[in-house]
Amino acid sequence: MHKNSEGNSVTGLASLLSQVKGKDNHSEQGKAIAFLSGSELPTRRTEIWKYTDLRWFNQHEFVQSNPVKTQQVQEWLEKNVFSSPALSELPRLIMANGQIMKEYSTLLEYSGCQIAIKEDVHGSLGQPQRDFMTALNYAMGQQTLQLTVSKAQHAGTVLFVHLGYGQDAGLASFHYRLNIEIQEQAQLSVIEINAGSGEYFTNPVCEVTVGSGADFEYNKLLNSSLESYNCANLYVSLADHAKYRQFLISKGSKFSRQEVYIDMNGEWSNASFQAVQKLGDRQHADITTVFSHLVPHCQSDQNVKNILSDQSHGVFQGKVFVHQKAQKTNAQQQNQALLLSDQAEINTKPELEIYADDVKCSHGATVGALDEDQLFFLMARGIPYDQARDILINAFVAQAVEDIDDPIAKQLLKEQLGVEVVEDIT
Amino acid sequence: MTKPTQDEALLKQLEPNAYKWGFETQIEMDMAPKGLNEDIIRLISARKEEPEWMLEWRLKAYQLWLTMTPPQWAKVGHPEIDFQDLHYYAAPKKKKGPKSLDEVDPELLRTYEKLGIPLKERAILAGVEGAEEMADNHPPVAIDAVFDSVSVATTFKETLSKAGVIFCPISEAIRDYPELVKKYLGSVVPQGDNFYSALNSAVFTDGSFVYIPKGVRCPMELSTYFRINAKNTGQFERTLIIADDKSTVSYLEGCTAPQRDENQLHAAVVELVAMEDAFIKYSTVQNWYPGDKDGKGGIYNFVTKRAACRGARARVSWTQVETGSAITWKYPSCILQGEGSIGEFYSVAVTNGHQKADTGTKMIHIGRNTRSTILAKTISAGKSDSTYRGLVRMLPRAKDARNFTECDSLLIGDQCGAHTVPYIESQNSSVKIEHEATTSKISEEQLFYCQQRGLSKEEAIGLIVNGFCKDVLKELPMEFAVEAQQLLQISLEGSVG
Repeated sequence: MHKNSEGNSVTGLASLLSQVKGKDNHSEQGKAIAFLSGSELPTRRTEIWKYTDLRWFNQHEFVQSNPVKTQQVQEWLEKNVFSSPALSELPRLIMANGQIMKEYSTLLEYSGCQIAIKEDVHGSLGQPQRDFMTALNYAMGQQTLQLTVSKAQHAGTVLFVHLGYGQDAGLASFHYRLNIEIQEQAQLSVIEINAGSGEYFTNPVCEVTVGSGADFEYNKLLNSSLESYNCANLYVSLADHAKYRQFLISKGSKFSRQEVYIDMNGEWSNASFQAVQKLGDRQHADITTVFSHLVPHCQSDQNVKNILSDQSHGVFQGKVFVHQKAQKTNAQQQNQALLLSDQAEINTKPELEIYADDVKCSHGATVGALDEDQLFFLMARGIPYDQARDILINAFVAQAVEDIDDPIAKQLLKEQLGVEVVEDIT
Repeated sequence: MTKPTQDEALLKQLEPNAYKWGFETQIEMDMAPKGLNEDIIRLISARKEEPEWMLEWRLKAYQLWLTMTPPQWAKVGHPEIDFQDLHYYAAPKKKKGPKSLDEVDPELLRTYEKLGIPLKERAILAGVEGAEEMADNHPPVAIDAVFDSVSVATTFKETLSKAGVIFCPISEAIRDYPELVKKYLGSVVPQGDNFYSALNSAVFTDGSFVYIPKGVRCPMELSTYFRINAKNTGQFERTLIIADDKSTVSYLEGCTAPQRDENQLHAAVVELVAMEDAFIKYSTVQNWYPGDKDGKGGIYNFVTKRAACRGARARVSWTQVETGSAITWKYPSCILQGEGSIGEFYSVAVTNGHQKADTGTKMIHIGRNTRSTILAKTISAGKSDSTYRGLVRMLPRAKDARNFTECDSLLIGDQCGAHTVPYIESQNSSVKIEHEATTSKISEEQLFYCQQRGLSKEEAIGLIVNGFCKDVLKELPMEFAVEAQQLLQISLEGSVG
């Protein structure tokens, strides 16, 4: 791996941008490159990067990735997808190192939705100038995958997998883009799995437009390689009576940052966000959300749980914005952290920004260790310490996945949380 | 809901929002020329007859200030301040030692009368000898009155000195107790801490100095009354309170300013030092001129307040009622260093008209078993914005530390904003942090209940707001609690719509 010290002329950003130099610049891409050329890497002095340090970014030289070995993808699928009857039957989209693996992607022939692959990066919600990582996606991305569910169509559940494979020299980066449109009264449920091995950087942007009365459930498992860096920006726009639910489990990655922007543009829309960050070792994981209530009668709730052991570092920055017009808003936000080690660190900033008066908004945050009294209660009944500890941790996270509608997703996410909790603590 | 026509009538009746302390005193003033440079600092230092080390300290702060830029992160937004367009020193010309009330400048007397400071006390305030003995039936509150850049008078000095308590203007303390000042000044808020604290360190003109010796319980409440009077001035006061081992003190701070079209700057620094088992209670009723109903004029209140709990079991309690100022930018903080030390923050912030308040606290837990409680009540009305911004930080050595935070916001009308920005940072698994916040409006049911029993809408709102703030108001000393309640009522006048 090639490392540069800060201040050296070949910074991470420069090495990335040199990959797109001389390319035929589409307008969006051109704008993004111009924006990035004129801006600095965000530092902790930038308010929204207050708790997450991007210094690693400038310590790497970014390179083009090697071609994917089909063998690796095949093996992963056999172990994780084909072995499970429920998962293997789902229409799936398989990507590896930012490329669509057509031979495995049954979603391309699925009749429940339309897929279009466009050879440029475009979008309507996340603007190139909106923030650093989104701009990077515009600048570096090569294609846009457009998924549309037509009016009143119930598309069921689809599986989306992104595998990343690092290489020996330099840091490969993957900037793919997924735009999902769910039209009026339609329904879609997505299970997304991020996995891989080695050191790499992923920076996808996903845009979701949920039409009037439509229903979208997004279950995401971030289980990337423990050496990898993962940023993801998600932009959601909800029309009236739209329903959005997201469940996120973040446990892979050396460094991750998940940004979620939800705009409630239609009355009576409903957004729910449940997340668990389960970290160990020296992992750093950040969830940053902005829920914007722009019209009356919308409802949102956020529930983020952190379980931090070893020297891990968890961050949650959540913001609820209520526009002056958004009367009768009901917004709730909850952040809980369980610190299992003295070297673990949690930083949380649950923020309310409210300009309408007839609203019910609340947020709560708690930080603490396992309750001694609860441990005592269980141990007094003959349960050994380790097991008692597991029971309490399980109880702490179980609630986050309890409300998942999709049975396959529920099973998968539960397994990912529950089974492992027992394993790695004893 | 009442009909809009009724509401409009009510609104008209209540406008303009009465600021009854908005008068200006016509008095002969001794002013420094406008602008800020080393010469002005030398001039201030010379007027104050300060020793050389103090001047150097100021100049060092000035050098630091030159390298800094005004902070932009607070959710307040104001036009850039021209720091060269201010007078940094303004003092009423005082005749030497007036013997009776007749000799005191009648304008100065009238000012105190209008501010509602009782007669006997007023006699003392204007520096009349012998009035102290007259003040027999008055509740024992010692007052230091700061008029623009100077302290006009300090009362009950004799009674206090019997107990060993030092309570005097800070300019006197620099002269008379240089060792204490040297040791503690800037030890909690260093000169270069932030833009406004650096400015204050360079040009501060007066303020109070309090030293409570070991084991002493201060026999009376101490109080400072700040008044900005002159035009185009900034007030930069500096308060330093030191409570030695096992001592107790309660300190009150009040402030007003005349009604003017232009904005005036108030950038104070308050430092508290609490040693082992000491207890400092610091209460503020902040009532600077908030500007008129169109948002013109008013005070910019950019204040740095910080307490250090140095000794074991030290306790500091901040209580504030913020009703005034066009812009408030204030975070009374506690550095909880001593084992088992306690920090408390109780706040009511009311904004109306075009006021903007960004206020909160910082609790830095360093020592074992430290505890902090934050209770912040925010009320926004009119076209105002108020933000609670608070930090709770648990450092690795703060074993078993504990924090509880509650922030509630009340919105009156749909033109205002209320924001909550808590920062919670923990590096320790043995700590417990709880934070909760709610935002809501006054419920129709509660209003209906009160109005049905014959209260007007205004009275009903006053009653409900007072109930909303009760947990904080009960922390105020008696004399202030009544004043604060009335202030809340007045501040919210004209907000119903």
